[in-house]
Amino acid sequence: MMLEIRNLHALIEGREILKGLGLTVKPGEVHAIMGPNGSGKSTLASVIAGRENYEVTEGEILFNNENLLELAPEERAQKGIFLAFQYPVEIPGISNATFLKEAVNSIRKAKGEKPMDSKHFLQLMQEKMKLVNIDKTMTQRSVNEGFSGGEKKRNEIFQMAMLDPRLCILDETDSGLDIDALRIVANGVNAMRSKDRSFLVVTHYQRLLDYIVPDFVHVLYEGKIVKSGTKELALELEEKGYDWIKSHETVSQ
Amino acid sequence: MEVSPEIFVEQFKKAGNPLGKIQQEAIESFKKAGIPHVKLEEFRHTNIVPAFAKNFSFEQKEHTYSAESLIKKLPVSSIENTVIIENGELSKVLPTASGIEVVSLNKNTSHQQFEKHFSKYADLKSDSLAALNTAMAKSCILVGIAANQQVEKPLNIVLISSATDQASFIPVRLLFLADKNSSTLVHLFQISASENGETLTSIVTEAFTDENARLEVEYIQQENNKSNTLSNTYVESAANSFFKIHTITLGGVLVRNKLRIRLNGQGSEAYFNGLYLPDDRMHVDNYTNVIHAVPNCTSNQTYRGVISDEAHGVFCGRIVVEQDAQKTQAYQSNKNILVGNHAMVNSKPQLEIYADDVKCTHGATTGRLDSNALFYLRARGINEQRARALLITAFASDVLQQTTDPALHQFLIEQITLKLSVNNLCK
Ligand SMILES: Nc1ncnc2c1ncn2[C@@H]1O[C@H](COP(=O)(O)OP(=O)(O)OP(=O)(O)O)[C@@H](O)[C@H]1O
Ligand SMILES: [Mg+2]
Repeated sequence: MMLEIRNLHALIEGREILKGLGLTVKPGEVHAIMGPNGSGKSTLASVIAGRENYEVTEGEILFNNENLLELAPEERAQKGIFLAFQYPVEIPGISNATFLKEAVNSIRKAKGEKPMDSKHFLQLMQEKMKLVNIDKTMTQRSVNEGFSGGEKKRNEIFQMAMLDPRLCILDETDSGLDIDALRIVANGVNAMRSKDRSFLVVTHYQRLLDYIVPDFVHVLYEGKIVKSGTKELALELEEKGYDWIKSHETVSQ
Repeated sequence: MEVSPEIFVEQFKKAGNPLGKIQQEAIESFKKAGIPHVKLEEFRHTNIVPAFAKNFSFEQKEHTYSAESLIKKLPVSSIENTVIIENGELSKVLPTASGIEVVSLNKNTSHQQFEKHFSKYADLKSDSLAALNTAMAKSCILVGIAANQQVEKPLNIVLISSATDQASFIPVRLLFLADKNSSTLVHLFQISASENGETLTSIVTEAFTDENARLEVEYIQQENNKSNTLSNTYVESAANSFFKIHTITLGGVLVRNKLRIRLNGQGSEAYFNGLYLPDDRMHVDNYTNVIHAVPNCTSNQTYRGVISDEAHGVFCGRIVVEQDAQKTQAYQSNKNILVGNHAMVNSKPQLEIYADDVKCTHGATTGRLDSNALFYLRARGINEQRARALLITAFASDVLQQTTDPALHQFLIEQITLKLSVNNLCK
């Protein structure tokens, strides 16, 4: 199993956001997670990536059978977890290229590999830049600084391609993208799909799922997965809205 | 231990006024004012008195080090264009570029420019440290750049301070004269001869930039952690001249840099940039004073501090715009990052504006490393210590990017990275 989450409870500033969440992802699968604003989607993504201001009070997360909760964020990244942020952070003073070289070589070091030399690193960058249509000037600019919303999202996918992770978590990577950029990003993601890489795709829109076709769709509501299905579930949600789930949820309680 | 001006007065009597009668005035001023204490507004956050509580030696010591090997660690590309000053005395002038004059002067040497400018800008009445320096200096080292000279390579000046088992008091006196239409870049390195010699260095630098002259100083303070530095710089600028200084403080235990410029000719520009990274129990104080005396001048100050452990950073930036100085543009920014729970900073702008058509902005911030940025880097596999070091270097880049010489820039990045990799930043 790539990822197993059992009965996950997490707090932020004393308030419980995740309330017994369970999810299982096999290698090669694409899972979409949908749900109303504030339901805990980004919280889930952050807890998997290891953000420290969340407190996990119950439950477990296993990644390739290893307990993730004991690991620092960088160790999780080194083991192949990648979070494409809903709100990518601007870091003035560090160029995209420098940042990526640090990241690539940190991950290589953790695996006991030699650092990549400049020549091979540049080659790798050039190859991956094409994937999401990033131009050279963007790699020379400070990380995300002054990038448009869409550029930031493309930059996340570019980083993902550079770091070659096993589990990719995309937190609303589609929001803020124009129609062409959406297609570019989706193509980039699809090009990375493989039998030993899995995806958790958080989105509000069924449209993305026309491009990145998921194996499963889950609805996250008030800190729990309340409904799971196949891609048709997304269509149903688009049509009926979350009220349908909410009433459903009350009935089942 | 008691701290009194007396030991300096006694020493002064022995020396016999090598720089002339101005020294008599200076010692009187110093006697009257004494060693500045924390009750004075200018020294409110910086207690320099303990630095004086030493049983000082004033003698020149036997050299137990090799200046050449010390210099090898600096980004001094060739030993050309290099001047070595040991304990305040000019000890070596390697072939300098044409148009640059470096000489050690005293009352027995006759030098027209020296007589015209020496001790004309430092304010002995209001600055008792400048008075002390003037009284105690054995010589004045003049660096003159001839009119119309565009010096391509940086002039390296290396200040070496040394002490044996007894603490040393070291007066250093410098005078920079940039003649009309000249242009120079000076690298001023301040280093210790050994890891554990205890020193108190008093540096007074006076500089005059004549019309259309351009003088840039990159001042790297890298003394050992027992060294105290009290640096007082006074600059006077004529019309359309340009003065820029980077003060990069990487070492010492107590460092106070007072930097004053009087923009006294229309169209002149001043850039003061500073970067300080005190750690352990170090104290760094940058006190700047920009005086706009005439119209149409620009000043710009960018200071960045990273304060670790139990260190203390102080920035006080005083801008005075005199009544006649219309169309002044004066900017100032000071940002600090605190690393560790006991680090401290005091930052204070002080604006006195007596003209009405003035553009003046200032801003100061103090904070911690951005936790979002830190998580972002870590989420990409970069370990915490390294991520913090990267963010700190990025923060410092506001200042570092403005350094002119690529070799020096590279050296500074390396030194800062080295410093940060030794420090425990994960607190
Ligand atoms: N630092 C914080 N302090 C307090 N509450 C927080 C903090 N971060 C998140 N929350 C709260 O946790 C809840 C879940 O937030 P989360 O970002 O996980 O929602 P989401 O499902 O991703 O929503 P959206 O669709 O709007 O992105 C929200 O009510 C939010 O206000
Ligand atoms: Mg969210």
